[in-house]
Amino acid sequence: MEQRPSSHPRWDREVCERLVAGDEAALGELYDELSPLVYGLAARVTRDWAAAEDITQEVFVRVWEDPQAFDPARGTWRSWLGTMTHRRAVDWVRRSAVRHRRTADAAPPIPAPDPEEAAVAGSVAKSVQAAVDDLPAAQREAIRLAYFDGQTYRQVAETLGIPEGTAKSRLWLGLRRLAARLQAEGIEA
Amino acid sequence: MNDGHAAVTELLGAWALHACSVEESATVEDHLAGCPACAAEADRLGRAVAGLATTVAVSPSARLRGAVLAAAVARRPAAGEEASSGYATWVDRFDTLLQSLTPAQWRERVIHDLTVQDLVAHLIATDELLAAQLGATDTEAPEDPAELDGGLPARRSAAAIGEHRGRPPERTRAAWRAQADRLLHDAGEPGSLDREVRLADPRLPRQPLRTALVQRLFETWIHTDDIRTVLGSPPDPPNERQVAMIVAFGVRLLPAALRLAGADRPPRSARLVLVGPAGGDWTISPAVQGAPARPPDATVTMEAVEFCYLLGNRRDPDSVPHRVEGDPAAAATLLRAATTLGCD
Repeated sequence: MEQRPSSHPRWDREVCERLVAGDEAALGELYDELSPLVYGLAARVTRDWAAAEDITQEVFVRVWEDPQAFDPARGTWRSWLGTMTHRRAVDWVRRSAVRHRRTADAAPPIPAPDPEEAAVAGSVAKSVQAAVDDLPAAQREAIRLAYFDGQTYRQVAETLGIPEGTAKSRLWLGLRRLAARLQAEGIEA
Repeated sequence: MNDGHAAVTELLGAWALHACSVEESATVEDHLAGCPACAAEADRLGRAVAGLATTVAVSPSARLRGAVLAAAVARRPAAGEEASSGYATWVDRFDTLLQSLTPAQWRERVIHDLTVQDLVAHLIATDELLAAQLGATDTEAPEDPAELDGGLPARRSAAAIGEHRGRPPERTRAAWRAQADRLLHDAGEPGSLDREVRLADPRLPRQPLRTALVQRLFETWIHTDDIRTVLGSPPDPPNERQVAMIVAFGVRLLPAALRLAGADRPPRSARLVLVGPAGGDWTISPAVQGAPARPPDATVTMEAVEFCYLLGNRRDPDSVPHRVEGDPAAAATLLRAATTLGCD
């Protein structure tokens, strides 16, 4: 069993209370625990190291400015920061797509997950990856384009040459299957 | 099931992946607010999405950490820095006021039959309770249990007042200022702000120095205000951030103050609603943390700055402008306990 501080529900609440009290050390702790998640996700979606650093800074500064936006009763810091990061990364991709249409060929190489970080993310990352690998290929591909490439479902439909309704349902069915599997295995991300 | 529900259901996956248009997202979010079934489904899908992020973790470069923390505190100062700079501000203001006084004004009666000079001596004594802890070496001085009662600040204060009577007021001012500067200097040492110290009333739970500095800020402001009132000058209340710090100090210590006042049996709780700048909403219960929460017995509403005056025992709990809903006894207990958190 991994024993990361962030795997204890009390940690989420305590960090939140300390941030509200203006305890800078709590921000450092949150950063040490979750900056690989934030930075890795931002880098994966934007494929731009500088943008990933900007997004990482924005996310942690925002949390410090308004820690009460996070509600520990509704989820973990990990999922909250993941959502904030993804939203910003997707916005960045859509803004930059307006400036110059990016193609898959022109995209810089995707940063490879750091082996040390794989160990940090530990059993959760391994189980999620296994669950993703077991999805039907069509659903897995739709989720990859939407989540990791920041495409809208319309773009997913266009990329895959399928109707928009089919793209929507592949995303939905794939996520449902993933959620059911993670729930069955007791994985709390 | 209406068409809106069906349309939203088929969008939920795309929505959870941030793969809808802005307009579609708004439609989904409006629907979720009123549909528990879809909200539960969205929650399940959200957990799966959160899982996806864990598979691509990469450590950022080490230099980013410092840049991020610096950018954060530039936007919202850390509590410790804010408390010490706030205290330093009120030390300067109090000093400017004292330096403007004539010999006759130093002898004016201010409050509780104390002259201005007595009041400064009193402040020397309460500041000293904190300053002595910072000046102490790492090995904790053994505490005399007889000293750790609620009468300690009053005894120290009476002794300091006796000592300073008959001295030139300028010497009293200089002694206060030198000690306040030492206190600020010691608080600036690395790691000091997290150090646990006793507050003026040694029966209250120990607090980090940054919280104790808020009490110093608060008392220095209250005495500045006392003297300004006698001189007929208009009030000069703390700014919004300082009021917020004082309010946070009061809210944090009120449960302990209620227990000290013996008001924890039965453990009645009250909701405190502070309005105006630095306002907020808190439930104060004397029950120790972890005890099951119960709905508040009363709600007390007042201005945040009035609450600060109440904490300083500069407002009467009965006549401070406020509104009570619910059990008047629970409200009165809360207001009385608040007045004990100053340093009189």
